[in-house]
Amino acid sequence: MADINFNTEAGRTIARELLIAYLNTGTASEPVWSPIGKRVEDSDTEYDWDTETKRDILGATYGRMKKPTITQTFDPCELDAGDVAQQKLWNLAVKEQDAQALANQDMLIVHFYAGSNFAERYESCMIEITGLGGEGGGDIEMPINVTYGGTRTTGTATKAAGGAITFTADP
Amino acid sequence: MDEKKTRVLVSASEQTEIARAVLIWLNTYEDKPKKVDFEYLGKTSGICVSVVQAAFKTRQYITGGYEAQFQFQVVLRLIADDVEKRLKADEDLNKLGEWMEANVSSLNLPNGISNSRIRRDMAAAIMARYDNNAEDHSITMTLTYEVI
Repeated sequence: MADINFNTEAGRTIARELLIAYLNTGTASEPVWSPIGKRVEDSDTEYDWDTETKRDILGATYGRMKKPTITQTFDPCELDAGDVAQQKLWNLAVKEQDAQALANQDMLIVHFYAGSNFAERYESCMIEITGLGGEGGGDIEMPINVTYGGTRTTGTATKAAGGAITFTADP
Repeated sequence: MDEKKTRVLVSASEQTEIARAVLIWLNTYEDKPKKVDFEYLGKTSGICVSVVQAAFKTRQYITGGYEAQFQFQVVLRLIADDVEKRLKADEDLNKLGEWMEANVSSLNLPNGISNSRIRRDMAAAIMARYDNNAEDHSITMTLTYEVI
């Protein structure tokens, strides 16, 4: 597979909002991609490669690594009736306490800065709601931990004028 | 060493639109002493909105939106030749501040701007006194809003 070039101007850094995670709030066959992280100021996908190094009897060092386990935290995530992804997760976690559903969520990471909006779909992500509350006089917060998992499908994403995302898998 | 973040201002046009919306809104206040002007007062009387500092972003979200603050004063000028008039000036401004806090939902902000909140930063107080017995009393307010 050919390398993908960044589609932004050379010499300039790339804006954070060009990397967005979406939760499927529709169905598997007719997905509706709703962004996660409204009002979150800082969030990274963290790659755990499960690395191991060893030194042989000749003194040379070798490393071993596995495909990464990718996790991401969205904190604090203030509740907002206009946040579709948040409402779906609130229903699954707080109302239903449906652990099985929460461990099998369909998510899409879109890299709007790469190629023709390179995207990765993970069909069985584990989403953990780690709390619900906040300080007096403030807002209700619901921090979210995501572990991306299941089948990984790469492709591209397009964003319509109204913000609707369409994912097209690579052939 | 502490890392100091640069304060990022909102666009000039956004600030102008916010100031215009606040001015229109204040003129819907029924108990105002007279029509609220923008950064202009007569020699002996008047009430106006005055921008304290440029609106700036207070939070930048990963999805590209932001929260910003617009700080402004409402200044009331009057001839205050006795204590009662001074007290009344502060009382009127404090009532206006409370009205703003209670009625922020009626503030009609430009498209794309939402979730506005407003608070009094301090109680009304005298700001300046002039040779002609005119005094300026003011109340300072902070409007917080989101562009998402």
